[in-house]
Order: sequence, then structure tokens, then C-alpha cells
Amino acid sequence: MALKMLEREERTLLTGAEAAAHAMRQLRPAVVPVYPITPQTPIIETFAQFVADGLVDTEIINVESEHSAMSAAVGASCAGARVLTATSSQGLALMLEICYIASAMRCPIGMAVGSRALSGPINIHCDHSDSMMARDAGWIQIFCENAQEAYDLSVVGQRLAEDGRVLLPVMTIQDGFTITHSAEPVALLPDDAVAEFVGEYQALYPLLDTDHPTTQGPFALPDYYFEIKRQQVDAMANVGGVWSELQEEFAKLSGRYYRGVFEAYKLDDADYVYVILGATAGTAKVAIDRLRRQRKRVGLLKLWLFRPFPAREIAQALQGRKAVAILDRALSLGSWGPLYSEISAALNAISARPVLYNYIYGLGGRDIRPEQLMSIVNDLECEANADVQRFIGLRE
Amino acid sequence: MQAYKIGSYALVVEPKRCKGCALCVYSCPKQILFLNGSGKIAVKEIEPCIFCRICEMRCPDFAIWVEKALTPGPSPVMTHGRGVA
Amino acid sequence: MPNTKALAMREEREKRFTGAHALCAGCGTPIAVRAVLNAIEEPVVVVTATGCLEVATTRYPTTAWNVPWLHVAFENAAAVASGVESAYRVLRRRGRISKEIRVVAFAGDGGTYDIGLQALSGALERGHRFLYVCCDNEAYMNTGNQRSGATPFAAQTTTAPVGQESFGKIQRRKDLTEIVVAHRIPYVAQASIGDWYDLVTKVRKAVSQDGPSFINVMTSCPRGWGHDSSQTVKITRLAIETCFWPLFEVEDGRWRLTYIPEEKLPIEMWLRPQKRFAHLFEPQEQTELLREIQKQIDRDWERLLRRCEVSASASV
Repeated sequence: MALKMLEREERTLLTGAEAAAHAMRQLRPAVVPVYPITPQTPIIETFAQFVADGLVDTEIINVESEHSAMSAAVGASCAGARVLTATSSQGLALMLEICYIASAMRCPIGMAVGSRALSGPINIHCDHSDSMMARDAGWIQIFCENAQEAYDLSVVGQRLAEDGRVLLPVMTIQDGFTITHSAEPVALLPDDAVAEFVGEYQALYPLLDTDHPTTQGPFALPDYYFEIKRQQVDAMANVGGVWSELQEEFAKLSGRYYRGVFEAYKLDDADYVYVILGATAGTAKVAIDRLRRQRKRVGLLKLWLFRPFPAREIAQALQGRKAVAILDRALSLGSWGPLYSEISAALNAISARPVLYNYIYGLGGRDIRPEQLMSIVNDLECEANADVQRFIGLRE
Repeated sequence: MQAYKIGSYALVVEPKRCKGCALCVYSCPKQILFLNGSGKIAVKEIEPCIFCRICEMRCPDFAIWVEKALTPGPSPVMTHGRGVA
Repeated sequence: MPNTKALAMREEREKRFTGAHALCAGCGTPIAVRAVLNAIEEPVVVVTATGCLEVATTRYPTTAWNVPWLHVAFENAAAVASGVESAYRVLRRRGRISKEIRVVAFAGDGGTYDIGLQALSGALERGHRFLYVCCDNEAYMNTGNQRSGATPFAAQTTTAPVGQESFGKIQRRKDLTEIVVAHRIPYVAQASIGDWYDLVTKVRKAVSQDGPSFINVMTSCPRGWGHDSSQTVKITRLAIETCFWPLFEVEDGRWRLTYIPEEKLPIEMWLRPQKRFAHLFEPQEQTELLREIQKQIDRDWERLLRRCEVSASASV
């Protein structure tokens, strides 16, 4: 069995955008509303070519804005279709009103996000301000380190979204340009294996079932609104368990096991821990390998799931460490970085609380190098003041 | 709910649903409708009614309609309110 | 063509929209909705924009709809409908659905002329097969009568009030029907609850098109316009007879009047019964403004006549 899998493991040189587009093709969506925005555009371009070449039977809707993209996505999803789309930055900002409605209406829409800084000033390069802006919209948010993860987690993410215990939309987030436009060898699963893994989407109450009319998206006043929101809370709470279940199944299929809700890299004996989302985790692994050669006990906690936030698992993993550097690639102006705030809150549940440091890096695509990440450990070791937000690679 | 019958037709009014706009009163070609003391739809006299159904189609609140066959007994009102009490 | 009785009998077979909703006494919108849905023979799926119609008919956990109904937001009824229609097309192709289904979107003038114009334009350009019905009562009535792009010149609203320095709205309403015609879709019409037969005929034509269709339906709001609730239909009829709201259709680019008043009534007859125009008559008559309004209407009517004549002569 294991041998067979290895034989299958042929790798194709793909950018993260192309890898996401292949996942979309294999997921056989019925409807894909598309609207271009850098750096996401190659995802929808690649997918549109698949449709044009007859490789997948999908209705592409060339909408006139991202607002309409998400609106059409909700319409099609309620109608009973599997719906996928993609966006970045301002596009996500424009969609945001409808993103909240998509999750409240329990539409399992899959969206590839090529993370990009929000204006202003306008900038096309990576940071996580777009995804962080949408963190309260009720979507599952999965952050990917590389093209392989973007592919794998798009496939698993869609099944997770459509699971009856979940029924929530999902964003599979890859760093703009760093992943979307960089080619790497990616192992693709056979088409039929993905088709079998995700199955056909069967909506619970398809609008197009005219024999069983339903009223969807009604007006809820104070007497019901609260309970409806509570149902979303419950659905989010189910995500972690379903994720683990699906990852085990996916590991048998692919040989790639996304164990737990985050990746623990050299974490077991680490006194100092870096917490990172997305592509910079790769850079951090290089930095940690070098630090380990200097006999510094540093490890990495790379989150795949940011929403729902795996607070309990993270608290467990960080319990008893000396210090934790939390690297945010987004600002929450007037407060700590979003990831820092989450982790700080998560640690309330434990007694042996490590000292937390907040680093802001890479805004608007500012490069980050292993040496910069290596130097962080100095702050942690000398117990520098943790009461300030630090900025990496900023000219001041 | 009240039904006013002539032959095989009945004009039915449901004051509970009526908001008293009087659109039907105004649009009735035979002027047989009026608003009663509580501002609800009522029928002055049924004889002149030609069952044209203009009142029915104009009513924003589905409070007046014409029925063909009378069914005795209690009526299912809310979703398919075509029964006659 | 269907008469009142035939449509009432259609409703007897299948009640698509019901009472016990919370729309105001004498509201024109349910009259339009009822007529539109009864005019369509095929199964329908309804998409509705945020507005009076949506909030007053679907207060959770109740509903006035007995057909599949979907609301997402204010500005996106056309985009949502295009999603539903696309899903329908592909699921039908894949053999998951076998029925012929019609998609109908309802939105108010705020949701169509203003905030929803972009989504509407996009959906029309893409050519989805759906009917978009704008229930035009000439202001944001759900929030309490604020000025919209559909509000007529000199009408009083709460955001363009009458005062020492103001006579209400100082701009003219935009001609949305004409904007939609510019999309060159198969069928565009202007209709009114004041001519019910005309409206129903147009709906039948609209849903038979293999592409987008649009009907702009005048529906009065007794509270916002300031008239007795019994006058809802009469007042929209006067809009037709004064040529403020002419009834016409544009089929494959050919303009045609579907009703020509025997005698075009002076616009005062439509304005005077409405409180939103009361400042044009009290405390003293604003003759200049009234003349200006009449001039605008005459010019628009002439223009429409010419368009229809050109179409008629071209098709001979």
C-alpha cells in the first residue's frame, strides 16, 4: 500500500495559484463566480482555462465586482450548488458584508485567498491584513505554508466545510506572490481520488427544490437572532474534531498527514517558541535549524487553523515554555497583533504561562530573512521588556 | 370569516386579515363593500356581486376572495385560506 | 391573455404569496408581487432585496411565501439571482434537476436605481435568464421616506425636505428603464399596478424570453406619498394618464407604447392628491415649479413617442 502510494507520488512544478486551481478543478464545483485581483488572479485564470478546455463542467460567472462574486456564490450555494471562488485584499474587503451572510446562511463556499495588504496606501504584496479583517465573519480560516499545503488543504477544507456537523464557508489562505506566484514541486492526487474523497455536494434545503419551498434569509428580530448566531458558534466548535477525522482519512489517501490543528516543528523540548502563520513558517524553520546548531532550544508552532482558533491545543503546547514570540503579519491598529491577542487569551486557561512577545513583520510585502528571525531569540533569552510591540525590518 | 353565497359562488371576507385600506371598497364596480365600525371589510349586499374578483386581486392582505364550491365545516385559514366557515 | 378571473384561478391552484404579512394598509407592493407571481405558469424561485417587502413578509419564524424564496442583502438581488440561475443551469445539465424553473427578483427603487444598480447592470450584461421586477415607489420607504434616485423632482422626502431654502428634491429622477434598455437585453418594460392587465401581459412576455428581462413597476406607498390608502391604485393610474409614468415595452430594441391615454391629463391631477407635493399648492401655488414639472413630462413624453414611432416605422 505504502509502495503504491509512492509510485503515485509524481510531482508537478506548480505555483500556489495553479495548485489551488487544480484543487478547484478536482472538486468539480457547479458554480464559480470570478473577479480578478492581484495576486489571486492566476487562480481564476488557470481554472477558467480548465473549464474552457472541457476538463471540468462548471458555470463560471464573470461578475462585475467581488461584492457580486460573493452574492452570486451565496445564491448558487443556497440553490444547491458546490461553489468555489477566490479573492485578495480589497476584493475580500468588498465581499465582507456578504461573507458574514454566507456563514450565517451556512453556505459551505470554498474560497482561495491570496493574502495581500489592504489599502492604504495601495499595495499588491503580501501581508495578512485582508484575512485578519475577515476573522470574525464566521468562516473557517486555513493558513498554508506552501503550494502543497494550498492544494491539500483546499481539498480537505471543502469536505470540512460541507460536513453536516459544520456547514460553514472556508477560506484557504496562501501568501500573495510568495506562494501564489512561486513554483514548487506539488504532488497532485488522481482526479477520481479527490472526487471520491469529497463526494457530491447535497444541500440540506436546496432552493431549487420547488416541491419543498423554503424561505431563506428571513428577517430575525431580537426574539430569534441570538439563537441563530449561537448555532454558528456550535458549528465552529465542531470544526476541530471533524478536521482531525478528515486529516486521518486524507493521510491514508495522500501519505501527507496534517496532524493536529497546527504543525509543531522541533517543539518538544523547546524553551522558546515562535508562532507563525503562512509562508514565513518556512523561513522560520531555516532560522530554527540554525539556532538549534547553536544549541538554542527553539521550536515553531505553525497554525493551519486560525478560525476556529484552537485555543485549548495551543495553551497545552505552550504551557511551561519560557517565552513565546508571536509573529503577526497584520496590525490591529490601537491594539496588539491579532494572533498575539488570540494566544494571550488562550493562555488564561493555564497556570505556567510563558512570557509573550509580539512582533509585527512583513507588512505590505516587506521581506523577512532567517537572520531577522534568528535575532528574535535574543530578546526572549535576555527577558527583554515584553510590554511593547516590536517591528521587524522597519526603518525608524 | 364570513361567506356570502349566490348560486355556486361565494364572496368570502376575513376581517382578521383586513387592515382597513379600503382598496376593495374603492375598486368594487358594484359598490357592495364598506368598512364597518371597527374599520374592517364588510359586505353591504351580495346580490349585485358579479364575482369579478377585482377586490380579491387588489387586496394586499388576502382578506377577501371568491370561492367556487362551498365546503361545510371549519376552514383551514392560514396558509391556504380558501375554506369557508 | 389572462383576465382577472383566470389569474385568481391560477392562484387558487397554487397560492404563491399569502397575506398576514406586515406591509402597511394599502401598500402597492403586494399587489404587484401577487400579479407577477400569478402571471407565471412555471415553478418560480424568488429572490428579494432588503426592503419593505423582505422585512414585512419573512419575520422569522413566519413567512408569507409559499415558493422558494431567498434574501441576501440590499444591493445584490441581481447578483444573487445570477448565482441561483447559474446553479440551475449547471444542475440541470448534470441531470440533478429536470423541471423548467423561472427565477424572479424583486427589489425596490433604492435597491435598483441606487445601491443595486451595479449588480443589476452586471447581471443583465452577463445574460442570465431571469426576470427582475423593480417595485418603484420613488423613495427609501422601508427606512421612512428618504430621497432616492427614483424620487421625482420637487417631491418632499425626509432627506430632501421642504424649507425656506428648499422645495424638496431639486434634481430629476433618473430614467432607470432607459438605462436598462441600453443593456440590449431581450425585454424591458415599464408597468404599473394601475394597469393590472398590462402588467400581467408584460410578465408573461418577460419570462418567455431566453435571457434577462426587466420590468419597472410603479407601486405607490400611501404613507410616503401621503394619500389615502384606498387611493393606491387610483394614484398610479393617474401617473399613467398624466404620462408621468407611461406604459411601454422594448422588445429586442423595438419601443412600443402599450397604452396611450385618450386625453393626456395635466400633471397637477397626479400631484395634488399627494402630500409629498402639497408645498406646490399650499400656502400658495408654485406656478413656476408646476410649469417646470409639466414641461419635463411633456418633453419626456414627446421623446418616448418619437422613439416608438421610429421603432414602428423601422419594423414596417
